[in-house]
Amino acid sequence: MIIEWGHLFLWMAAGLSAIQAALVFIPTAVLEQGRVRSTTMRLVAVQSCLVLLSVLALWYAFITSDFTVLYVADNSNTMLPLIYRISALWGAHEGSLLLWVLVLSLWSVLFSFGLRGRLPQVLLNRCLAVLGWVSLAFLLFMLFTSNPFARQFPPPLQGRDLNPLLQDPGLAIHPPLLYMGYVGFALPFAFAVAVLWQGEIKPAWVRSMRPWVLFPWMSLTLGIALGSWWAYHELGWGGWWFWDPVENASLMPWLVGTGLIHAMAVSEKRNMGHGWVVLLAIAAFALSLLGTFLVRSGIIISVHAFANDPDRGIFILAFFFVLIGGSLGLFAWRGSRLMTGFTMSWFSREGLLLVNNLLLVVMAMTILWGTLYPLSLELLGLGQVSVGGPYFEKVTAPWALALLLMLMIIPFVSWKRQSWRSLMTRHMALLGAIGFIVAGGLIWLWNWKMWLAGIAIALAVPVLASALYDLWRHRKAPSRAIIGMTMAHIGFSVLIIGAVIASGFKVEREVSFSVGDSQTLGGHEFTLVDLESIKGQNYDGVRAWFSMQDEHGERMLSTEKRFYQARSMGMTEAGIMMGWWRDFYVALGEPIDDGQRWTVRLYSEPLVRWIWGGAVIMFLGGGMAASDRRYWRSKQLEHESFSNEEASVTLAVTNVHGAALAESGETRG
Amino acid sequence: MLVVWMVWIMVCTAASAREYEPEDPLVRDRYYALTHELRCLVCQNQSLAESEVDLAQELKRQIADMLEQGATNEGVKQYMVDRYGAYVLYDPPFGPRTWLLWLAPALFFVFGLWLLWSVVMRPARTGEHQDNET
Amino acid sequence: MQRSVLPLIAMSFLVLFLAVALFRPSSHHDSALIGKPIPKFAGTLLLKPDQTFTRQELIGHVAVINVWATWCPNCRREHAVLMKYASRFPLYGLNWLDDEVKARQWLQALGNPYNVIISDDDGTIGIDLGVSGAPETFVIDAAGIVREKYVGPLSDEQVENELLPLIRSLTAGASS
Repeated sequence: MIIEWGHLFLWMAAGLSAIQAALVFIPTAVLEQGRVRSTTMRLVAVQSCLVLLSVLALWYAFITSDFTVLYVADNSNTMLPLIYRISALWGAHEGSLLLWVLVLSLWSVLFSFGLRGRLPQVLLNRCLAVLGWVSLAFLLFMLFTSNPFARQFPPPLQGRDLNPLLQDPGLAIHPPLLYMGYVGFALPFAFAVAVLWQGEIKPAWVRSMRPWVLFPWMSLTLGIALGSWWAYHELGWGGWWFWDPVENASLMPWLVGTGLIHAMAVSEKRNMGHGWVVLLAIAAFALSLLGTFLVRSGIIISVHAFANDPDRGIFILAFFFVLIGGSLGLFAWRGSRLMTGFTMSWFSREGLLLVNNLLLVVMAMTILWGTLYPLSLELLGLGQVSVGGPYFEKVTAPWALALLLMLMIIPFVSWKRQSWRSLMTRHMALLGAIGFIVAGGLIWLWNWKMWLAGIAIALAVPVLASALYDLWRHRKAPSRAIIGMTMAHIGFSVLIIGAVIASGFKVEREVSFSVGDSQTLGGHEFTLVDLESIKGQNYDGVRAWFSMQDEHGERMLSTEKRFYQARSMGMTEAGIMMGWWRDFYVALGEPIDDGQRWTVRLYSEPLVRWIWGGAVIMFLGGGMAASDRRYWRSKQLEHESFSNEEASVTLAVTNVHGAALAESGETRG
Repeated sequence: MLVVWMVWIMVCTAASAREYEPEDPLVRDRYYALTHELRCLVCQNQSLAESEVDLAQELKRQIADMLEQGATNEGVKQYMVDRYGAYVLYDPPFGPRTWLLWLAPALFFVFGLWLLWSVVMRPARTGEHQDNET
Repeated sequence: MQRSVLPLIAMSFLVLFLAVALFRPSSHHDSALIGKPIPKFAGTLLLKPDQTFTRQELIGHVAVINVWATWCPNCRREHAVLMKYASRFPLYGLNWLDDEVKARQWLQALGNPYNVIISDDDGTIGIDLGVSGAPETFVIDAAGIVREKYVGPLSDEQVENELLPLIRSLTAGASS
């Protein structure tokens, strides 16, 4: 019965979303009324409760192992540990869509409460209407093509179990975080469509929106990092990024979202480039949807592919076309109203930020291009090529390095105009010296062999230094936005240093061991001490104990090969000796001679931990920036709600804006 | 659901492992670099280095043998392309079918720069009411 | 033209492209060998391990080489089809990356559709032929040129509509 309720709640939620979406047809005069707003907000809240209830219903089915529910039977098992029964909800296509919708509903509620009084009522209502469309589209997609509550009678005696790859704590929370990022980009998208519809945009609105771009960006940052961490210790290849189409699909909105954050700074501070902000907001969400399409349509072969189902593909593609095509149509029609034109000099903060935006967008486009290129060649009948890691590393590296360069300079360049001389005299002497010394040292050290790594480090280290120097410069009046920004930049350089060193100086070996055999790697001696068989709740396996010996003594590492009966799948659990400076990684391969001898992969991974550490610092920086008081002021809107006259609004906005500029202008020189 | 996964895992773990890592450390480095650039044909989006399926193991053994007998990296790649087509190369060489692939990033950048330039250079349509602020 | 239309146009192209791609016929990767002579190889016979078989013995007639293994579930499905049509053309088997004992048991249990079976337990012949999985089927003309390669199990329809007509035309071409 509970299952039927869950199903029914989804339909009701779809109904409410439809009402929410119908706000589009209500004239502006009505939308201005306070009553409409509070009604809409209640609507959004009730809708998200309904979705939450249906999620609870499905969880109930998982926890009680109700195999009459097809989705539960396919993705759970009575032997499955409880925590994975809970995370199994998003372990496959149908349930992950439900999670998608849940996350969207919760974001909508937070958004509508968080921005109450900070955006004009009409605008907020219009944002919610757009979110209603997105939510309706996904609910209908789920209900018509992938209903998680579909049942089967008679039920099977045992479920097919959750994919063993997903039975890992990292992957239990990776999808929700990733979806919070993807789906969260619906918020700036809704804002973009609403301002296009309105035909005007104000710096104060953009300022109020900034946390709502930072939140999804933070989630996506952490989600991608977790996915990478999971791949590192679960796939057993010692790699942390594979340039797989699905990974690329998550990186593209991240890059564009990062660009959006920076473009909004320009739009808010200098009251220009609004058209660009709107376009980036649409693009970030479009790329999130595109990622969903690529994963679920089976159009591109990927290790992570969900299912090959062209029907689903056509559905997603259709609503991609309606949502994104609709908003871009609106942009084509009314976008020019928002374009104030740019008046600026290139060598100013806004000028350089635009170049930074260009770099980020070009990077995203390059990744999209590389991901789709094999497909397009094939369609043109020109045969097949593979585009993989080596390509992506080569074509993204120059842009990443250029970004580092920008990152070193931009915080010290002032808005409007900067002269080289004053920049040099005030700040650059220090930075230049650091950069020169580090670059020289590294080039000497590596003797040009690893020149790319040399350049990256030579750039990233001064970026770290410059970020710390920037913090010190603002020590008297640090705003959270500036601290957050600096943290994010530190995180980015830490990530780049980690990525460059980890991929350039990784050492790997694939060798075979019997008990008692030894091999050396990176100055350490690895000995297979013991092999034992193990039995888990839903798997059997073998555990190998290795001793790792160096001048500091001996440490033990264990790695497992598990066999999950329900899906007859083998899985590797890597043994990792973590370290700030270097990880040692042991993964059991395949048995030789009936398990007396095993192939084993050994990896030495320098600074690999910095990659995820950098991502976490970026995440924290985003959080710090989002909590800046300036973004949460609501005073300026009180004027607006009483009078809608253009003049007074603009006046109010410019006043506040001017004050803000003056406030931050002081500290920036 | 997840049929793709299932097939992939079953195919990619059906292995009888062997040893094939070259002895000489210099050759070994080249061996690992090469196996990361060649595609495992059976598994989805895996390089030979990552794969443990039978075919990948045979190919890795073959590559190790060739390298130990003095083959160049290009020789090994050519050997693979002759048998499996350009599809095996994860690092597609610059050529008539791929020049658009390799040049596109630069073209995007130039196009973007031009767009930016033309927008910035265009006279502002509305007045700059920000200039007299601070 | 308004510049603000550009994003819409770009996106329409993308969607169009994806829609076309979505409905593309499922494809396998093309063999590098098609149109080229079959490479030299030598292998022992599965059923007569003391005899070797070389490329030379394939020349002079249209030949079909089927790559199979006992560990491959699709080969079992295809086996029935091969049994049905085996008498219509010269069929050679390549037992690939397999256990020879199991392979002989399989033939005893299910029947042997092949004229000759070459054993390739270490996969070296397979590598030279560019085999990436089982089953695969090569069609070779009288001059020893590879004309076609089928990836995956052959179905009745495929044999009737594609393979047999191809063999007929190749045979006609060779005799004229």
